[in-house]
Amino acid sequence: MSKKAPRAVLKSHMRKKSDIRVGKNADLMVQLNLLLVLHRLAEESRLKAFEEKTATIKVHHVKAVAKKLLKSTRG
Amino acid sequence: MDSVEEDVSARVLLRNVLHSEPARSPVTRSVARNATVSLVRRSSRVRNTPGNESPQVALRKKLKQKLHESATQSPLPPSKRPRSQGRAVKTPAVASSSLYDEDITPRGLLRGIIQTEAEASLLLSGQPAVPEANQQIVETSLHSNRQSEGPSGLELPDLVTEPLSTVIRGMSRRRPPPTFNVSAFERQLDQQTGEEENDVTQENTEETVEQDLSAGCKSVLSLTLKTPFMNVQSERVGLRRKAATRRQPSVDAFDEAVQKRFERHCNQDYTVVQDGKTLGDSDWQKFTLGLSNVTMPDLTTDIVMSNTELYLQPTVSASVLKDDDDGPPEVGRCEDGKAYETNRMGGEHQEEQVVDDFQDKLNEHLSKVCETEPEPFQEMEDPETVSQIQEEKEGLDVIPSSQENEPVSLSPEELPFAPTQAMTEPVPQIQEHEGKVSDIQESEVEKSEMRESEEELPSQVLERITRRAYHSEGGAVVAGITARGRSTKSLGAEQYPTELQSFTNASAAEELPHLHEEPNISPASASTSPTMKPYLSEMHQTSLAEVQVDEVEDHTEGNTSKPFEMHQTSLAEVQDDEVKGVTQGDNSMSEDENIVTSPGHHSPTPDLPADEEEQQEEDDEEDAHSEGSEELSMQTPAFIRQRKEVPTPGTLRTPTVLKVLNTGPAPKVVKPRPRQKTRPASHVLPKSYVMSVFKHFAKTKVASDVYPVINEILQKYFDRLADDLEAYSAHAKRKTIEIEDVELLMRRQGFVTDSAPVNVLIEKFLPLEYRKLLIPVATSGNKVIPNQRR
Repeated sequence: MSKKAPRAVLKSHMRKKSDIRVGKNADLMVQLNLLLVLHRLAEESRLKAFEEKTATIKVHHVKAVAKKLLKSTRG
Repeated sequence: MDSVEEDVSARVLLRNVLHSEPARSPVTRSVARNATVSLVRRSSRVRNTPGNESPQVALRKKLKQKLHESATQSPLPPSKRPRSQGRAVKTPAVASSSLYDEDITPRGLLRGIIQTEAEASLLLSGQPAVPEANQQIVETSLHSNRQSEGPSGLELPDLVTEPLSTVIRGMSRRRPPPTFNVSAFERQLDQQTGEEENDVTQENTEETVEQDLSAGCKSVLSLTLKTPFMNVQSERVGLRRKAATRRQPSVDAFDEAVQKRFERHCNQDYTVVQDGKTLGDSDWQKFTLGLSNVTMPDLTTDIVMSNTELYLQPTVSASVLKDDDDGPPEVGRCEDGKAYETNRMGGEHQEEQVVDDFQDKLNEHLSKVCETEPEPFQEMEDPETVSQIQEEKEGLDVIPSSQENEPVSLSPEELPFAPTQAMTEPVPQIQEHEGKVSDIQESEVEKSEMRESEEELPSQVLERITRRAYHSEGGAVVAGITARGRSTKSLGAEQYPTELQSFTNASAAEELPHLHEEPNISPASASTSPTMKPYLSEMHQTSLAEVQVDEVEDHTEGNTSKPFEMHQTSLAEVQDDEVKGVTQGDNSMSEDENIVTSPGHHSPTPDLPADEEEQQEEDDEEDAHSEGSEELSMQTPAFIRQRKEVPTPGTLRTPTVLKVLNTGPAPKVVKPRPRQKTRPASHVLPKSYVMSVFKHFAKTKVASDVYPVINEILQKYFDRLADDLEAYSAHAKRKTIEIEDVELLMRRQGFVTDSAPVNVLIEKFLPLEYRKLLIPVATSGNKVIPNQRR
């Protein structure tokens, strides 16, 4: 089941720095982007957890992959 | 000197060689120079100094002694080497010079020394021994010219040991010279091989040992020394390897191959298998020979079929052959079978006439049906034979005739034809001439029964196997036939064998009533008859006959309508079902008791079994399909499951104590604290949403305490995101972030690729409401949702 992120929050995030405006439904795309990122993050941390042969994703798993992930999703 | 040297350790010998060598070959000098810097220094020094024999001899002796000591002792630390090397240079030079005159060529000596030294040093201290030996050799060679030994004699022992190692090491470092040395060395080695007996033997062993050691660490001299030996050994090694590798698999592979063929034959031809086993695993040819001898030599399939067919359908084949000739010759077997049948047919003149007419009809259907299925042929045979029986006489005459026919050797082709015929017959019969069909069916039943009775277990097995094979091969063969078969199976698969048996056993009188009763059932049974053959043979006829009578009555009443219906509906599924039905039938009919009971089951619900079987068949097919599809779909999840399974034990292993602990303190802590709904500072997104998404994507358990980390990550991410989007829109000279900007961002990030366009991702991830907003959907009235600006 897919959830929905609060669009207002996303808009605020996009408008972070300046008073730039956010187009129609652009935040939906941002939601999509967010989902993709979280998906990748979860995937990577899951792999990392499997390396340690634990079925549960722990904090250190996520931390280990965080930096690499942030670097990869630059653009 | 010689005697002393011989007694002395290898090092001494090495030294001598080294001394002698340089006199012979300049290479040694160069090698020595390149080998070690320290050596170079000393070598130059040593060379310059003139050699004094007397002092040299003395030095040599001392060196020898010290070599002995050094050999036993561990090599001195490298720090001392520089000193010792210089001095050692002197001594080796002396020794080598003295030795030079001796018969032992320096190279040979060096080799031996190196080897011996290497061994000794190995014992003491791994590799350095080898380089040491090399170094010594180098030194000796280098210093052969230099003969100044000076008062460093005392230090000789140290020098001997240390310089050797250092020299050797140094030499090992240098690669280029070895090539040169090798060539020259090899020549000398060849000469020297015979010279030093003791050393040679040792050398060989040593060389081998040294060679075994990593060549990299060995000095140039060692390499050069060993090269000739190495070649030999390498050759041997290579030969050995090859030999070993060749021999082993060949034997095993051969056995495996033999057994595989064996199995193949076993599956195909029961009788043949037995023969094959007796023949043993020796030759494939033997198998083939055995097969050919045992069965018909024409075709392998025919051979296979022949065994079963011979027993099963003597009459059917004969009758069928006549008419089958006209039938479709699709399969070579069929054609052959038909031809064979025709041959037989000649013998059966009586039946021919009657059968011909009937067979013509059958042939027509056969042509339609028997496209590629041997089974249809078999079935066809059955109906034909049955029809023959019918037309000629009601029970007795037909039976005996059929029996007569049976003895006629059944070709494997006949067997395949028989079922096909049977299959085709029921279909056309039912469709066209019910009356005739009934008769035909009866005759078929009779014939099938007869056939079955005559069947033998092996033949049955073969038949089943062949049939199954045919099923698998044929696929859509005669839908009608298969349907018939299936329907018959459903109805009479179990019933039929009993009926058939009754026919075979019972007299004409019994059979006649059965026949009449069975006409309805017969179409089904007829088709199944071929399949049931194996079953029938197993079953006892007498007992079954009695039961059959009753059953037939019931079946005929109820089944008449249904079988037909079922035939029509179940056309598609027949084939698979037939196989299953056959198998099922076999299982059920294997015993008399089963037979008896089966009829009982059938009688009460003649219709039900048909329907059920159909459904079952359908279900089976569906299940098979679903299973197949499930399997495919399961693959990826299976992997994940495996992965999950792996870690699960870990989770399980997490001691329950910990779990208790985790749960324990929590409630205690929470209660006293006043519950404050304080929103944690700078929460990028609601925890519930983030964690739910993360857990969904993770597919495995996620510790709940990862949220803060994720939060931070998302924070950074959003910052970057905003900057990028701003930059993109600014680049587009806009002041609003649009969807295009985000799209561009995603593409740059690598989420969106040519193979994963945006819309696909949208469909994949976003909920329906959002999707509608993002993806334009065309609706009636020339409307596009959402409204597109034009």
